[in-house]
Amino acid sequence: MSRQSWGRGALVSLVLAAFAGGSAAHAQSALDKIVQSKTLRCGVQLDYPPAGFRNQKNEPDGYDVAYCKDMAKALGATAQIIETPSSERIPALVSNRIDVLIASASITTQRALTVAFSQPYVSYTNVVLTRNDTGVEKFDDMKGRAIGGVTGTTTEQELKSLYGAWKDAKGSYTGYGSEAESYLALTQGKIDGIILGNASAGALVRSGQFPTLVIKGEAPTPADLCGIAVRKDDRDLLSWVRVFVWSQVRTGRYKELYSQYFGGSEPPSLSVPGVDF
Amino acid sequence: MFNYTFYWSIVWEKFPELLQGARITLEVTILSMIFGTALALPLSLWRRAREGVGHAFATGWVELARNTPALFQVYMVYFGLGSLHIHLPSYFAMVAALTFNNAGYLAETFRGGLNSVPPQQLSAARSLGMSAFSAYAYVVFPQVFQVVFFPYVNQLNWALLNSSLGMIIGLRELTGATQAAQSESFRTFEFFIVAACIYYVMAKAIETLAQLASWRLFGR
Repeated sequence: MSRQSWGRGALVSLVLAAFAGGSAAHAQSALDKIVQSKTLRCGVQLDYPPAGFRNQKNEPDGYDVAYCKDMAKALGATAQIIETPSSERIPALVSNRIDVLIASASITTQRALTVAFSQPYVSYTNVVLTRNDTGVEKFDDMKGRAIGGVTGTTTEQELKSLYGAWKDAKGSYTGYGSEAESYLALTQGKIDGIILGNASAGALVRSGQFPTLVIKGEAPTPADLCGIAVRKDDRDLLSWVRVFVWSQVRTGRYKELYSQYFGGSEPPSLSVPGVDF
Repeated sequence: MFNYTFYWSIVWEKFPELLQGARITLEVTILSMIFGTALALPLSLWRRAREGVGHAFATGWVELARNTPALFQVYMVYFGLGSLHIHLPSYFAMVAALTFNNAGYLAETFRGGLNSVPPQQLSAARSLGMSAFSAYAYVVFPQVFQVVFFPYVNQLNWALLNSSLGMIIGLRELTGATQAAQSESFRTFEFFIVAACIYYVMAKAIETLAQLASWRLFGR
């Protein structure tokens, strides 16, 4: 596979070079374009509060939105927030509608085959969300019950592997189309529990729209470390983004943004002990 | 043109899951068409009656089924009934919602077909001593089916494509399986292209089978 695509890649570059001629010896990199056009286009998921949502003035708001604005400021550009629902995140990036994806995308080896990730810029832990009448007090109490999640999320994959380990004949798992349906199903009693990021769970309970939902302890899943994604070829942009993420933590801005949107005085660590990213 | 290398190997790894999804898509489609047809027959007769409870009921059904989005109908069956503490599993909720939708459209299709059969045929059948049921079953509807055959196949295709809405209420049919696979790997283009091809093949297969059935039944 690699040899063939190298060959094809070489052929394509030859043809491109022939067309481009001598005038554009150096193609403009993604970073150059952002700096020159003074616009940074960020893909953000706006159905995932408090990381991304629309505030009462119907403007994009949230941790990811604020992160994008900081990034634009550091580049001397204006931030352009482009809403990318879960399944449109990658097409938006690949088809060049956005420059960076700041959309709580969990870093996995499988996904890294498709896009290039920065080191983690935010970290979530998973908690158990249930109704106050289910009697579920901790994660293991969900055994033998109907549980649910959102189709295709990393949280779902982790929940399903834990669920599989229970070898539970009585329980069932249902993967819904989006967060909204899973909350509704939980509220109505179709399912008795879901696991989701502590930040969204907290925002959900605080919103007051779901008075019967309560958080009951943490789920035994590893920390959900999310990265900023760029196109695989935009290496200059990736290395700049890595510096930016580092700088956010170093200057204390990470802590500030984290407590503003997620609460708490001490933000979670953005690294896995004992290993570099 | 964008710079993107397609990775098909990831798709082949997940292909059995997509096929499993396609099987559920077909099941839901076929079941909802069978139930939808069974309901559409009496609905179409009630629609033709000028008045009465049956007419009002059938008109209400057709109006709702045809003038609201299928997505809304799916939501109502799953979450609407859920708020009344009636909990249908995703599979049955999807079959029920699609049946409701199909019955509404097919009732109107059959009504058009019924109008094309001269009313004297029914009178003649009844005067030969056939019951109303046999007259419709053996004389009128066989002719109706011939007239409505292609609109019927249209509806079958429509049901196949509408079944993709099952994904939002937790049914892992073809679209649900595709969504899960693309989200795990971020290979959105590959998975959506393959899913579109599978839908196309299924729709084409239905069309071909219908064409064969049409030759066999009606000789054309």
